[in-house]
Amino acid sequence: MAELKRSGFLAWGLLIVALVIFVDQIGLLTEAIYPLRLGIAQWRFTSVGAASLRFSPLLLGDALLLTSAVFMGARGWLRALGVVHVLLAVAMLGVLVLFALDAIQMRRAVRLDLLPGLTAGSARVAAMVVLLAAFSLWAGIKLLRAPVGGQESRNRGQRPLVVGAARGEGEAS
Amino acid sequence: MTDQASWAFRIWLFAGAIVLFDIATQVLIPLSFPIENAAAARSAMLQALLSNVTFVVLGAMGIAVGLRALYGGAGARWSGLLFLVLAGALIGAIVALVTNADTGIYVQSTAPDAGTAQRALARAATSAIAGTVALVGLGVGLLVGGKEELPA
Repeated sequence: MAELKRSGFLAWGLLIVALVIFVDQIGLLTEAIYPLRLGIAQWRFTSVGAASLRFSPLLLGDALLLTSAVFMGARGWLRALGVVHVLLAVAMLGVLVLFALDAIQMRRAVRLDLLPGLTAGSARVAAMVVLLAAFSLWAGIKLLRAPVGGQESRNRGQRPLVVGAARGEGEAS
Repeated sequence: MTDQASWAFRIWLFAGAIVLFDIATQVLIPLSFPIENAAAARSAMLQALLSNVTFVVLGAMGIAVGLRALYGGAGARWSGLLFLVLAGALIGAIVALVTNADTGIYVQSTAPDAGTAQRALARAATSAIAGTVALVGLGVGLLVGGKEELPA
């Protein structure tokens, strides 16, 4: 693990793969929802549904991005990603509220026989948005609190104190 | 293991679980269809599973990487079992594909003509078989060889 981190190759490789996934998936999503009609409830509802089909690849891209950031260990990059993830979590909760209101409106517009499918589909999308918001918030807070530069775990971190004490003893005698 | 490495493995554990949850819900949603559309529901379930074989394997790998690294041999055992359960689901899909009624439904709903239908069926079957082989191989590998200690 330490060798990989030192080389930096893995971190940059993961970052590039993550960016390719983001560009690809955002392009596919844009193709599905364009042109934008934010004032129409049905468009908003179906757009969130279309976005939900991209959640898994985007999440895997995000995991690659976060892993690369952890390997790089650069303070600014970690903090920037942390802020972006916290903002993303808040935005997703906002989308969830709008989606719930639109879903209620859509229930009045569909035929009765389609209602169970619509309810189940809406619940699935809502559950996914909640999970992704939780993931984003957790990752964001962890990134903002992360120690910088790949600091070792507690046991290894205590080693310099022990070394310092041994030298002190040697000087005293 | 460094704190950062431990956190990176947790990211993959969490992300893998969400990906598998996403696919599981996509596969199970058609169960909410009215009972007279049971054939259409089976077809939709098959399509949801067979168009997501890549993500099934990636999600399971994320979970396995996280569990193995964080919980050692016990994590390897649990992720090996998870792989085998997922392989079982794919084997079920393959059986459904080769069963006459469900194959007809799958082909009808995915293709407008016979040639396209054959290709769609061949693609779905190939994905399912490749996914099953990968999942069984990884599952058995984790169950048998996952107990060895990781290097520090």
